[in-house]
Amino acid sequence: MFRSVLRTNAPMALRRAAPIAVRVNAARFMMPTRNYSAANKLTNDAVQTRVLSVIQAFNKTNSVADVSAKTSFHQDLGLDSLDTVELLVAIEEEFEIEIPDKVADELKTVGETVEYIASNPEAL
Amino acid sequence: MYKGLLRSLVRSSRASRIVQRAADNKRETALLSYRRLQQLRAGTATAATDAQLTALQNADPARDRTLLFLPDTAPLRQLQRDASPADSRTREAWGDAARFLDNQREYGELMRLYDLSGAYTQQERVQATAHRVGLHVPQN
Repeated sequence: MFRSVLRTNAPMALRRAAPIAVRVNAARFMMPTRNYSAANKLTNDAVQTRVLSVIQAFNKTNSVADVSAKTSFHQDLGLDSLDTVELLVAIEEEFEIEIPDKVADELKTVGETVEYIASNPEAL
Repeated sequence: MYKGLLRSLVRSSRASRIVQRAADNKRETALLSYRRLQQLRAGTATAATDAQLTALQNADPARDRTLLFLPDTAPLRQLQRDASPADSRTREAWGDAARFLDNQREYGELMRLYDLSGAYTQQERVQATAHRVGLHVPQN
């Protein structure tokens, strides 16, 4: 329930470790705002680079050299179904969204995933 | 089932792993700086150490994508393999575990946000206690 609020406050929570006397601008409190009316700023290219960097961080993929939109998780990256789940969870965390199970089952390639994330208005 | 639990595990462990990684980086930086000093004293080349140092200083653990993955999912896989999907009790147990992790993480985050007990120094706490009964802490 509080997830979206808490995530935006995470840096603040970390800063809390310093005692009040030490904190310089303790009075400044930033209220996180998000304008849902504004257009989603995530472009396909931006999403793709971030997805690719997540894939590169995954140590179970076999050929990371040339990952493109057509790359398939199973055939090209050599991931089994549980690995794919792991990768999708990491991508979810990266963009702070939750991909519903039904959609996640349909995502077989990098391109499909990028397209889904770019079309998701909640992706950050 | 597997996905839900995995997601909860990743989420609940990520924050602490970021803090851990930051602490590790700090320690590593100290070690490298010491090594660099030694190299300077011995008059050997410090280029490699310098490169390592700048790489460490530029590294941001919060942006580190490897922390989006669990270090080892083998035990979880084994559980998944052993569990029969038709068994409703197993399914329930996995769901319970995921919910427990989620709630625990949310509780921790809320405590960090709203519980001020850790935010005061000892001096401030003594002052606040004194004020509460209308007294002042003597200067010095």
